[in-house]
Amino acid sequence: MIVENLHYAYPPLTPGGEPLPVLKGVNLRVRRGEFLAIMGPTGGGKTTLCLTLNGILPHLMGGTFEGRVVVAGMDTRDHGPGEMSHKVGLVFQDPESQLFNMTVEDEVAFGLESLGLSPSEMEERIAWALEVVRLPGLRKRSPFQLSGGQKKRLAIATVLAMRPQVLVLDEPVTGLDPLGRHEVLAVIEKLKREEEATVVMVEQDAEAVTAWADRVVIMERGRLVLEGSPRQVFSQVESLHGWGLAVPQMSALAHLFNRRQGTSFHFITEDEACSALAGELQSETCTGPRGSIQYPIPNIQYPVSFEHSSAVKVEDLWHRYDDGPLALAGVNLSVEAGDFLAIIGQNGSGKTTLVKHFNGLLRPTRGRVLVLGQDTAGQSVGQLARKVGYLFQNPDHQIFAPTVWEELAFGPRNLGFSEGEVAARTTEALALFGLRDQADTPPAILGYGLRRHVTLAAVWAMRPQILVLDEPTVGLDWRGTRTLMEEVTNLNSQGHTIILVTHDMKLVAEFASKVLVLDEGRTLAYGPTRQLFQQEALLRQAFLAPPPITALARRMRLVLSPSTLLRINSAEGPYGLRGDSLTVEEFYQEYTALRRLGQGG
Amino acid sequence: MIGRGLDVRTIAITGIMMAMVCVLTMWGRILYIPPTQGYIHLGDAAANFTALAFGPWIGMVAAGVGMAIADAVGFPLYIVPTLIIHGLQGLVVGYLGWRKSWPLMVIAAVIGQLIVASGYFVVQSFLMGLGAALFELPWNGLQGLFGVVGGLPLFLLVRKAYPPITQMGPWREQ
Repeated sequence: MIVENLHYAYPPLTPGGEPLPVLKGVNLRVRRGEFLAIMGPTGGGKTTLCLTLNGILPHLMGGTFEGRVVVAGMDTRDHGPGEMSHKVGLVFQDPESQLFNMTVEDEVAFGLESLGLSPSEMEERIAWALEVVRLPGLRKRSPFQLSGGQKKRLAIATVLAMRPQVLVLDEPVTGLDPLGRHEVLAVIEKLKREEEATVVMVEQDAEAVTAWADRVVIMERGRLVLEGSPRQVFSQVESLHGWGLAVPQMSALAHLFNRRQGTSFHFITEDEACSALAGELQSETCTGPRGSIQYPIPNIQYPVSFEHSSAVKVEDLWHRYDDGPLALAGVNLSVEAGDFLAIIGQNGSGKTTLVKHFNGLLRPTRGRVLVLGQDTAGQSVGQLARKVGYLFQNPDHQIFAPTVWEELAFGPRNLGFSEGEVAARTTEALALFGLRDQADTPPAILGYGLRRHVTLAAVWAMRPQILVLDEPTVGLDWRGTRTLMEEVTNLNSQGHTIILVTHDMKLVAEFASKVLVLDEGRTLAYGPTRQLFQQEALLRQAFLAPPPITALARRMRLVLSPSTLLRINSAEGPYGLRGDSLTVEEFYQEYTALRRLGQGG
Repeated sequence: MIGRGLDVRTIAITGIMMAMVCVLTMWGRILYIPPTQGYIHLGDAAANFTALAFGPWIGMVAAGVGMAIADAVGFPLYIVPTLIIHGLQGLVVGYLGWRKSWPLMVIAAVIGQLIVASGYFVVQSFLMGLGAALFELPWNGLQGLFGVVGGLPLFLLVRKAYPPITQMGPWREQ
């Protein structure tokens, strides 16, 4: 694949308007069989670049196109997307822009039919692709009855089934549960290895990029600004953060040690980190098994919370969709006022269905839901909206106003605030979420990341007592995620109750005080975050995994016992890593404390 | 700049708008007119919207075929006249009003409705005689009024929220 001096500007949005330049001289060569990851801040042109790779740009959108894109030997100027699609498979960022058939099975078959495959071959490939994305039981379901994450999986299956020479994936694994990410990327890797497929993946998840990509390029404001192996790129922690991008937790940890202790660590994987850090304490190497051993959960005391009133109470909640599946099967839950609850679970486990009951978008088939002590049964969505702010998984399900300003002002205005207060809140929300320049722009024409910001700002402007966020960080870069989480934490510390649905275990570990794990519409576990991430078997059952730093902490704890720990027994008694760190900072503190003890003894 | 003709997107838009016109004609009935046993429906509003948003060609096909399909259920006699009359309406409204200022859009939509009203007048005077056609004329005019009052503001509001809509039709200008 060759991209040469590519400039692209979208056509003007209105007759006589200015074209919108996005790509400003992109040069890129990707070898056959290479796995290239593209990272970059929101609005940097990553998606636009993807769309040029199979000819959608400029053929379907027009615009000004300069330079050359040659993929699988075909110049996109001479070959339209119809031809290119036989060689180049594209997974869109928003799966809803891609799915249109009546059943899951038809959706996968569609591409295969146009390849002219025999029915038996098609059957085989459909079964294979659906197996890979963990959707085999849902062949006759309509794609529109799938959950958000399942739609994403289906979009990936449709492309995998075609076994294209080149795979272009625009944030393919955001919105997938942690094991799902691993499964899907493992299959892509297999295609790459066995069939020499070329993979181009736009992704914000630095962990996935580190684990799978051969090469990373950073794209910012329409140009490629940094390129190299994951190890080279992620050693530039400060530049990456400067661009608003995430680094893998292990790189962040290495950076923390290097900055504060003057070390020169350069690990980027858990193995390397474990070896380096264990080696620093002693000469042991990390040959221990990876976290699969059961050991007792450390008994940690938590401060007993003072008297709380209940924010949301769910009693034996069942929900069955019309003509659809049973989504919730007897959930009980009590969220106390001021809690920060994370709801996690594999795709299709009922997370969104559950939280939609909190503001009345869905009504119980059986059981009941109490919000601030009142049964939701007697209250309209409008009444509940005063108490419960709800951020949709897909920003397009929420956006409707002609301008960003109107979008943000709508909520406060309907809550009955004065025009002055409405204006104040709107202005503040615009500033906070970096939307000042877009105040008069129709939100529908903004990029995905900015649309996400608009919906966040709109909910934020209402300052509801209970805030439900359904996968709010999907499609946001690191900086966007930090901004959002800081604001949410702020609201939480002022007493607002936060309910966060997410697949990002790092967020859960860092911010949530309690976690609810759903599995097939049932409660699998509910409790404090720290304890939950110690229960690996349980997490595995729900297709989840602890964040890398917690995995590292647990493993270090195994590796270090018992000889080292005996050596660093101190006056304070036996001491070891608790093995339950939730953040990089926490791990660092604990590790350095342990080392001090070791050196002292 | 690469121009666009009858490509995938044009076909998709035409299909969707054809369905919109058809559905709003069949089920968008807002007022029953006892004297003529007909309805005031939102089909003309959809036709005007389509032509103003996507231009004469999509307007012609979507309005003509969409409305003709609606007539196939219940008013089969009118299928062919409807195809021609509303096709002409879509073509003319799109030609005169697409990507123009709003006064020109008003004029375009009004001319379109005049074509419809006079078209049905001619057809009905053949089918039912001059008297009956004259009797129907004001009701057809009322229907046309709903077409303008419904379709034009709808288009202006949608365009405000999503300006690129006027750029989506085929045969983009340079």
